[in-house]
This record gives sequence, C-alpha cells and structure tokens, in this order.
Amino acid sequence: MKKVLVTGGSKGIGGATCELLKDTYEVIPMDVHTGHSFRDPNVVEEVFNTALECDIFINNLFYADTQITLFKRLYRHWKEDPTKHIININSKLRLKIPTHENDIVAINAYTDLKKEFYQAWLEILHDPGRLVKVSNISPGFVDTDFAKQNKLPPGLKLEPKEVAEYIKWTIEQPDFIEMGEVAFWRIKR
Amino acid sequence: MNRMQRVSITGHTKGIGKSVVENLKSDYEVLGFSRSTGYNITKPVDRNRIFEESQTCDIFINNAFCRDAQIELFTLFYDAWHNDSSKTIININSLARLGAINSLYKDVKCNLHNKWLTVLHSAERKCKIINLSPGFVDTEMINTLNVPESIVMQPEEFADFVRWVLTVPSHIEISELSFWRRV
Repeated sequence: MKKVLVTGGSKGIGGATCELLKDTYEVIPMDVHTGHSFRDPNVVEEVFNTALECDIFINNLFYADTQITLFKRLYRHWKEDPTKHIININSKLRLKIPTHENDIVAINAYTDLKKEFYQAWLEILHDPGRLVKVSNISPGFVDTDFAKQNKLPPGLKLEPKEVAEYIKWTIEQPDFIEMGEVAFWRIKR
Repeated sequence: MNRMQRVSITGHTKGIGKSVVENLKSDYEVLGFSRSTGYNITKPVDRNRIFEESQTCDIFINNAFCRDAQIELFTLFYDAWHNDSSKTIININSLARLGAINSLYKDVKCNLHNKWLTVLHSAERKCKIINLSPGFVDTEMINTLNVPESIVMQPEEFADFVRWVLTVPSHIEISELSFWRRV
C-alpha cells in the first residue's frame, strides 16, 4: 500500500483527502490536530523526515512559506526517484491581479506566497534528470475554516471533498503521465 | 430527452483534432473545420464562416494552430459566447508555453494564455473556458523535431483528457490542465 503524507490532513481539503484515500493508501495526516504545529521549526523538520519515508507528499497546509521550503527540500531528495509524487496545493488566487480595492493585506500576502510557490515549480519543471512527478492543484475558493478565518471574499465555494476527488484523480493517472497543473473552481449554474 | 451536445472543432482531419473527433463522435454531434475541407483559419473570412456555422454548437474546441489565428478565433467566440452559461470554449494550448526554448509557437501559445487571463476574472463571463496544455503529442509537427519517442503522447491519449473535461459537473470549471508523457 502506498504511503501518503498529507499536511493539514485533519480538516478542510487535507481532511477530505485523507478520508477519500484512506481505504486504498496508508494515510498520514500531520497538523496541529495531530500534535504538529507548523509554528515549531522542529515540527517542520519532523514533517520533512516523515515525508522522506512516504511515496506521495500532499503539500497542503499553508503556514508562512513552509509549503515552498518543504517542496524545495523534498524535491532535492526525490528528484531522481520516478516512484515519488509531490502534490502542491496551490490556489486560484495565484492568478489574481491584486488591484481590487477590497483586497486586504493578508490576502495579498497569501497570493504572493502562492505565486512564489508556483514559481518554485516552474524552476524545476524542465530540470534535466528530473524523474519525480510534481503536480500543482489550484482550486478556487473552498469552504474551509481557513477561508472563514482569513475572511476570504464571499462567493461560490467548492466543497473540500470535491477538491479531494481531483487530488485522487491526479494521483491515480498512469505512471507514464505527469499532471502539471490542475486548476478548477466553482461557477454559477 | 436532452439533445446530443454539439461540438465544433478546428483542425479535425489530422493529429489531435482527428483523435478528438473519433473519441467524441459516439456521444456528441461533431462539426469539423479544416484547411482540407475548405476552411483556412488564417483567413478572416474563413474564421467568420467557422464562427457562423458553429452558432448552434455548445462547445468550441480551438485546436488548429496557425500563427495568431487561434487567438483571433478565441476572441471571436468569446465575444459572442461570454454571456451564455451553456457554452464552453476549449483552447488547445501547449506545454511549450512554459518551456525554455523561445519560438514563434511558444510566443503564440503564451499570447493565447494571456488573452485568457484578461477575461478570467470578468464579472460578466458566464461561458466556461478550458485550457489544455499537453506536452509532445505524436503529430506531423512533432516529426520535424528530434523528440525521444518515450515522451511523446499519442493523440488518442490526449483525446481522453478532452472527453474527461467535458464530463465534469456543470458547476465546476476546469480552467487549466497541463499534462505530458514521461519516461
């Protein structure tokens, strides 16, 4: 059974992903609810070391720039391993042009980090000798506690389990197919 | 009973377009436009004919590449369809858009992507727009490049992704999908 580490795996997108994968994968959620607060650098180190023992790393939890640093470190270790898969959970906001008058500082900081996160992927995309799969999942707004706490603008929101389904679909593509970017959102219908 | 959805596609007699038609024709009514059937997308008059003849279609697959013609066609269809939630435009882009090698092909694909970005957040937009960016696909264009066979996707494999994006629930827009074959 493949081993999957999901950061932020207790709630929201991560929680729904663990729930969806748990019957066919060995799922390891890591976040504050499992006793792993990302505010603690030792915990981030523990997450990294745990990821090294897994087949798939779902880099979901957003806390400052830890998504970017974990991605870069793990990529260096997994670069030449075709059996590994890194799934970076990005956001539709990376496509946002921050000019709206209602933009708040927290959202702009979030957007900037998601753009930087995407840029980190672009930098390794054409790396000679890269064998590890790296996929970006960029959903629109999702109905999560994170969205509520950060006062994301009102609008149509995906259910976390809908995002989880696209994550599972990405993981389960044939070995010879690499999904680069999977971006999707809810629209008015 | 609901009628069969109608798909309009450019470049339908070869490569990707031909495989997409083969894949979709059992479940969709497909209308194809190619140079070999009298539609040259580099000519404004032919682009207008494609547009006029596609008005009863639900889905436009903007596949054929010829300099800026794909961007012109996207603009033509978007301007007319943007306010209609029953319509879908699929732009066939390319991984070359993100590549390190500069070329006219890359520039045009970047421009097509940028054109999409300008309408992405439009409050008036109701039609779906889907961008598909495959890596190397086994087409006539690829035969001119020195690409290892192991990373070349078959057009039939690509067509499966087109079918898939058309089957997601109507309240979800798959905006970008990039994928490729790897060793």
